[in-house]
Amino acid sequence: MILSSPGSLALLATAAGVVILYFLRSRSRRVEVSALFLWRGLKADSEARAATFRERIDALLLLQVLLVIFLAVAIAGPALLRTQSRLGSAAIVIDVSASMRASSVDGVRRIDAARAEALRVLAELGATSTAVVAFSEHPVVVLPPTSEASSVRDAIASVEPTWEGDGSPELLKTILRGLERGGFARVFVLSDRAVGLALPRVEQWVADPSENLGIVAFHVREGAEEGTVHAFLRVRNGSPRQEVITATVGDGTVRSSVEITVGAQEEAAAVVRLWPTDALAFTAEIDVADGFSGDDRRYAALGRPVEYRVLWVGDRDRFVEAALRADPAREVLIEHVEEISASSATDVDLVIARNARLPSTISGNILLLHAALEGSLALREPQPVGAVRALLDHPLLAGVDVGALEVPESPGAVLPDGATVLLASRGHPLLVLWTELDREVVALMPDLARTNLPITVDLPLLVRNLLDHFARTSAPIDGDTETAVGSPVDLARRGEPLSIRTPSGIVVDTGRGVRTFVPEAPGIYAVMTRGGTYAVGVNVPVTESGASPAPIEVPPADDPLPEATAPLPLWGALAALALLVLLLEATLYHRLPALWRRR
Amino acid sequence: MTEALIDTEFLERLANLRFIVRGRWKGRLSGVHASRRAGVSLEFADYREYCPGDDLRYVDWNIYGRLDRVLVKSFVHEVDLPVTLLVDCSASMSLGQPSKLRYAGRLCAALSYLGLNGLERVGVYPFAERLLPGIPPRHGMRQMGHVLRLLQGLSAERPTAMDEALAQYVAHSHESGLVFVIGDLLTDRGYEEGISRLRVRGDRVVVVQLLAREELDPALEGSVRITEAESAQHLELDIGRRTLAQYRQRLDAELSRLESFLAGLQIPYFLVPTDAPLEELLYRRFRAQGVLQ
Repeated sequence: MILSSPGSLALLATAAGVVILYFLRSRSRRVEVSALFLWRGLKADSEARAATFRERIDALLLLQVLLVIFLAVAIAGPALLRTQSRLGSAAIVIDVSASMRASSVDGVRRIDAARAEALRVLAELGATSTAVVAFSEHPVVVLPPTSEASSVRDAIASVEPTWEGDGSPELLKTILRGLERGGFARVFVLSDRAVGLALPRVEQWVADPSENLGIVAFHVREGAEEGTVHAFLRVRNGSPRQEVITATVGDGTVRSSVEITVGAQEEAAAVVRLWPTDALAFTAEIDVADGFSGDDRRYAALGRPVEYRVLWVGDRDRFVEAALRADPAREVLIEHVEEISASSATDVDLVIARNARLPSTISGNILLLHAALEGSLALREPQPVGAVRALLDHPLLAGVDVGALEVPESPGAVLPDGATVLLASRGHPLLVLWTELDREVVALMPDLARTNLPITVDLPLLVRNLLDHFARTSAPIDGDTETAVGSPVDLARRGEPLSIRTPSGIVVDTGRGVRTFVPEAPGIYAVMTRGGTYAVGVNVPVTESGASPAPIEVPPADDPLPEATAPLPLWGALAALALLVLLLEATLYHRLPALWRRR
Repeated sequence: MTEALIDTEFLERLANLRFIVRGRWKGRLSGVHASRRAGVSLEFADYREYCPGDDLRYVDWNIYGRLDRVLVKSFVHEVDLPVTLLVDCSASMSLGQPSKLRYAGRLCAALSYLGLNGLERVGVYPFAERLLPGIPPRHGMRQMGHVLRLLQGLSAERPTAMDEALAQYVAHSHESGLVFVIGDLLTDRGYEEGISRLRVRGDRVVVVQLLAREELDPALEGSVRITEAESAQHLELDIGRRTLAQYRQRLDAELSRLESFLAGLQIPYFLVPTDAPLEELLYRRFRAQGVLQ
C-alpha cells in the first residue's frame, strides 16, 4: 500500500482529542426525583464508579475514534499497488498509411487484408480486453481497451487508410514500446512495413507486396524561354520486369508526354518541356495499371509573377504609373490611349482614365482619376475644399495617412446609386467606389496634379490597395510549392490567408490567425490571400511508393520492463466506511436515551 | 392531563361502594350518617327527661305508665358527610409513569363519584405551597362535572408546603368532615402540623401517599445527576447497589415515620405505587381499612 500524502496521517492525533473531549464531557444521566433529601449524603461506592467508567466506554466513543481514523487515512490517499494482470489484453495496431490502399497481386487491398487478419486475431483472443490503434503520420486510439468483441469488430471495420505516410520509424517504435510497457500482453502490428521485432510481446503481420509503378518525384520550373516550363520526373518500377512508362505533364490546357523505360525494381528520370504556359499548377501522370494508384499522379505548383494589363486612357501620370510598376505581386503592363470609343475592345485587367470621359460600354474594372463615366459619374465645376476626412475604415485606405493629404479643390459630382464615399471634404466626395454590372469602379475626384498625393508615400500604398481591390491575382511565391499529405503547409510567409480551395472544389475559410494547414488528400490546393492566389501541390508521401519500405528495427528496452503496476485508490472506500460509521453513530445517538430509559 | 381521567364503566362498578364513618358524626345537613346530635330519624338513640318545650309526640308513654317518669325518646340525627379531597399539586407529583398527579386525579374522580352517589357533599381542593382555589363540598351529580374539570386542569409545577396549605384549609373550611389527603408526602418541610390540625378540628382524615415505582425501587446505576423536581437543586452521585440499598433504607425510614405518625392520630394510611391498579385500592384496601363498604 502507498500513501499519496502520508503527512495527513498526523490527523490521527485528533482521535486523542476526541477521546479527551469525550471524557471531559459530562456523561451523567439526569434523573428527577421528588425529594432530594433522600439522596443527599449517600455514599458512592467503588462499584458504582467502575460502572460509570464502563458506561463511558460506549459504542459512540469507539465509533467516533473509528470515524477519525478512517477520515485521516482517507485523506492520506491510500492506494494499493497491484500488478496489472492484463495477460489477456491485447492491442491491435493497424497501419492506415496511404500504401495500405494498394492491392496485392491477387487484387485484395492491403487494408482489407489487414482487417481480416485483425478479426482473426480477435477471434483467437476470445473475450479478452482489446484495444485498437491506427497509425500513419500520427497514431490514433480507435478504441480503448474493452472486452466487448462487437465494439472491437466495429472499430476494426471503421479503420480506413489515409493519404498520409507511415510516419517516422521513431513514432512506431514509441507506439510499440508504449503499448508493451502499458501492460498489453500481446501487441499485433498489421502493416505493409516490416518491423524488426525485438520486443517479446509484439507480433506482426505484413501485407503482401504489390507490383507498384509510381512517380516518386515531380518538380517544375520556368524555362529560359518565356512561357516555358520544364518538368522533372522520376518514376519507379516496382515490378519484377522492365516497363515502358508513358508520363504526361500538363497544366490543364497544355500537355506534353514522354516515354520512360525503367528496369525491374529500378527508377528512371525524365525532363518534360511544356510550352506555352503561364499556369501555376501542373500535373504529372503515368498511365499504368498497378496495385497503388496514389502515386500514379503527382502535383506541382510554380511560383511566378503575373502579368497585369492596364489600359490608360487620357492624360498620363508618371507618379501613378511608377506606383503601378512598383507593385511586387504583379508585372504591370500599361497601354496608353488618348481616348476610347464605345466600340473599343478592352481585354485588359484594368482601365484607368485620367481627365477623360469613358463610355459606359467599356468592360472590366475602372479607375477614374478626375474622369467621368457615362451614365454613372459626371463631374462638375471644381469647388474649394479643405481637410480630407475618411468616412469609412476600408481596405482601400489601409496604411494611407488621410490627414496628410492636401486637396485644395475638387469637382462636384453626381454619384450613382449605391456608391460608397471613402474620402470627403466639406461634403464633397473625394474617393468613391461602387459596383455596377460585373465590374468595380473607383473614382478619385480631384485632379492629382492639384494635390500633394503624388509626392507622398501614400500614393504607392493607395495604388497597391487599388490593385488588390480590383483583382486577386495569382501571387508569386517563394519556397516550396510542393508538400506531402499530412505535412503542414506554412501560410504565414505568404500573406494573410483568406480561404483555401481544396482539390475537391470545397472552399474553406481559414479564419483570422491561421498560419498553417494540413492537407488530407493529394491534389492542387489554391490558397487565397489578400495579396493574391497561389497554388500548392500536395502529393502522397514518396515513402508510400516503395514496394518494400525499409524495415523498422525496434530494439528491446535497455532496462528490463518493469512489472506494470497501477495504484488502486482506497480513499473512496475509506470515505464510504467513514460515512457508514457516521450514520451508525447518529442512529445509536438517537436510540441510546431510549435504551437508558429501558434500563 | 389530556386523556380522560376516568371512564363510565369504571364508575359504574363503584356504584355499590360508599363511605363508612365510625361513630357519631356532627354533620350540618340531614343525611344518611348518624350525627352526634339527636334528631329526627327512624333510629332510636336514648331517653332523656322531659323539658318544657319538647315535642310531646316523642314522650314515651309506656315508660311513664310503668315508671311514672316522663321521658322523651330521642333519635339519632342522621346528617350528610362532607367529603373533601385535598390533592397535592406540587411539581414532584409530575413524576412516575403514570404520573402521581394523574393517579391522584383518577382517585379523586372515583372518590367524588362515590361520595356524590352516596348523597354526600363532595369538594376538592388542590394544594401545593398553599391552598389553591378549589370546589367547596356540594351535593348532586352536577358537582361531578365541576370536580372532573378541576382535576383535568391540574398541573404539577409548584413547590410543596403541606403544613401551610392544610392550615389554610382548616381556616377556610368551616365544617369538619371526611378529608382525604392525597399526595406523595415526600417533603422535608413537614406535614405533621397540618395533618394534626385537621385531626384536632375533628375531621376524619385518610392519607393516601402516592409514590412512583422508580421512587420506591429506583433502577439507577453509574453516574447520575439527581435533580429535585420542585427546587431544581441537584447533586451528582455515582450509584451502585450499595447506594441504592442506602436509599431504600432511608426511604423505608421515612415511610415508617409517616406511618407511625398517622397511626398515632388513628388516621388510615395508604401507600400506593402509581403502577398499582386503582380498583385494588378502592375495592380491597379501602374496604379492608373501613374507609369504604
